[in-house]
Amino acid sequence: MKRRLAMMLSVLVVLSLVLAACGGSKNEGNGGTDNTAGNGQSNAGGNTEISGEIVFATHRTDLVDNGTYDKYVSEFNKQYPNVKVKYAPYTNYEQDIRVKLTAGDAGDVLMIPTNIANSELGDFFAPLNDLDIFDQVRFADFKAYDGNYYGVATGSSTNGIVYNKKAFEKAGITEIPKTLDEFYEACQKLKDAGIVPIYINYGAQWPMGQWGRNSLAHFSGDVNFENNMVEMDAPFQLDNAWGIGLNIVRTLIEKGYTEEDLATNNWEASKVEIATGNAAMYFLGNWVINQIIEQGGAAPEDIGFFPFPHDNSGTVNAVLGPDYFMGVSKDSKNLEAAKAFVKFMIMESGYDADSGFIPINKNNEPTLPQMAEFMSYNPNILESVPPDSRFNEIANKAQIPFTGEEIQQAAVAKDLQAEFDKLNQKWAAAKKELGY
Amino acid sequence: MNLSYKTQRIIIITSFLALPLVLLLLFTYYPSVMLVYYSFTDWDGFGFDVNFVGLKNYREIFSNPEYFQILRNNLYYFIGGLVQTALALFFAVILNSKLKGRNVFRVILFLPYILHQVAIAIMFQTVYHTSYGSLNKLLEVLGLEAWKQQWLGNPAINDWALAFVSLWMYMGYNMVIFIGALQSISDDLYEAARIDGANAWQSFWHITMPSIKNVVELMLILTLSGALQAFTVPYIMTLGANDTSTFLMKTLDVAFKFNQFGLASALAVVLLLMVAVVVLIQRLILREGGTRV
Repeated sequence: MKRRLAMMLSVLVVLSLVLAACGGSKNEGNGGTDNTAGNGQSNAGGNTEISGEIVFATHRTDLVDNGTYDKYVSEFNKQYPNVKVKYAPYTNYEQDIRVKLTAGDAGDVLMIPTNIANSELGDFFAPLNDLDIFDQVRFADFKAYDGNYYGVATGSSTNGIVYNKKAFEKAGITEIPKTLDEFYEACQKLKDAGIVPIYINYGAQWPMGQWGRNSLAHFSGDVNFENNMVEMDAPFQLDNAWGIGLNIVRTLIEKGYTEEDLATNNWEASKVEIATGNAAMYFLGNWVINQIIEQGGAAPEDIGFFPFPHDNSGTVNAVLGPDYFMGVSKDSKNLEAAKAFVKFMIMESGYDADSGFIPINKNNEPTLPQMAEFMSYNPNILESVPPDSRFNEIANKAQIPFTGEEIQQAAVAKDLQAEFDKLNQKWAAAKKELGY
Repeated sequence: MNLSYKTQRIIIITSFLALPLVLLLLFTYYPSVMLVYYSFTDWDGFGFDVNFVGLKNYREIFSNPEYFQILRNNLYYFIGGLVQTALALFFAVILNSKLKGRNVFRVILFLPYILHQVAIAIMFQTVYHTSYGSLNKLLEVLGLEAWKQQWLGNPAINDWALAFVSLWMYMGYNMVIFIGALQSISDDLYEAARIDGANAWQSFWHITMPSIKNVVELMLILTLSGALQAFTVPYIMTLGANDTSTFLMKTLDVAFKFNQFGLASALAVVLLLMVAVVVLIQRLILREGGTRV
């Protein structure tokens, strides 16, 4: 308690100093608030009323280093010349930002850490309702609570098969597989041609989540599958989405369609393998396409993207899901500047398109050619729904990581049913203990 | 100012001690005390919403067998550690004799300890890699294709493979300490024994061993507590995949993956107690031998 008191005192001291220092301009800033929405955009000479310094905490250290963010900020400064944007890049974002949030030092604009319950968002973030963008963006309700919107998604992704066209050509695959059987046939052809058919990145762990939680809606065709798990005592079944995903990945491993060494983390190297055509496919999000091109060194026209056929029905699902959400810290000293920056980043910067995302603004078309290819196969598009916060509570209580670790284990277990029984038992016990 | 010698002494001693003491209290004792405190709460690692829950976390640990089953994986590191101590003693005795080029060998065996643990883990990842790892390539060259393995993938051998890495890393350190101890034994003893007709084994067992008993004891304690705390090697090399998770990795998962800092603190306290108990038992048993400790 002492520590808390000391911290509060020091914060008070700092705050009072700051307030005293900018007391004069503060009033002006408040006065300008009301008409921001009205003339902010149309003001050709830039909005000089909003001013101050904001700190932007980001997970994209690469964009800080290569100057992409500088480009956005200089565009932003054309509209708001008196706002100074500073970056706070974190290589281990999810972990570091939580510490910073607890210490009250997370910056003004930040990506909302994934596992804060929506009911707790108000403790850390300021409502963004007055930005007036929530009717135009996807996933508007994801970070909303009690009618307040606390975050906007920065990009939208979908999962599918990212493939090397040259490798497909070499193996004599002319048609993109539209059913699971055709998919296995393609794998066999690739294997016969001496190409690793699909790099599942077992050793890196997180990519294994693709065969589990990340694809529940994809495999079941029901975007509420994950949220419904909260009501189930035995959600892990051989004949539902969990069983479908695991059966596929187990078949791939069994038939030798994956990379040979399953234990080692080869994530970085695997991008080069895909780029050079030594390996043919990834089952990942579209965000990986730019990484294969930029870090793996592939020619953009060699990399394609198609929806993953998880069964033989012929209809192929594709689920749109949000990337990180951007929010504004409740304690920001320059709230208006921070909000203006969020609006700019989402609506104008082009961050989502540059990063290979599907645009977050519903009215924009994806610019990535691979996305156009993906859409040309006419997948059944499902837009994901806000997660039920009880899911994470139960998962944490049950100590089921959902990081891909549980899939790693189940993918090589001798008896999948026994593995599912174990998970079901943990799930049911945690659910009961929490009273859900 | 006219201060008595005694006051001056007190002032000087306190002022010299103050800084290290403050650092020690701030960075060692304060966190430890807070760890124990958190172990009685349900803190989730976020904010200041901390509720006192009494012994609930401890009850959870002792009623759920999963936490202690994971100690089985630590056992591999302990067995590896015993082999490591024996090997270290073996090399120490050899390299303490008048062997040609013994300093070169000492340096070679000690070098792994100087390397960074993370570097070693990454290095061994490439050694063990199934398709282009040097170990499997070596077996190929030797015509032993049948012995090729998924060194980190096969649950039957991956824990041994990992324990070997930690053996390889720490063996040199143990050896250097043994050499230090061996050098303190007077040559006269060996000479007298030789005159009385003792062979090499007899002089090792009756002269060397009793003289370095304390060091062996220390090594065993370090080995055991090291095995209980095995972390870096499995964490970097496998992330706990294929059943290679250790107790410490589980503790970290509970804290940072499952947001149960209270429970994780309790696990850490239990680990601390386990090490303390083991050290105590070991000292008691070894003290029975009659030598001073």
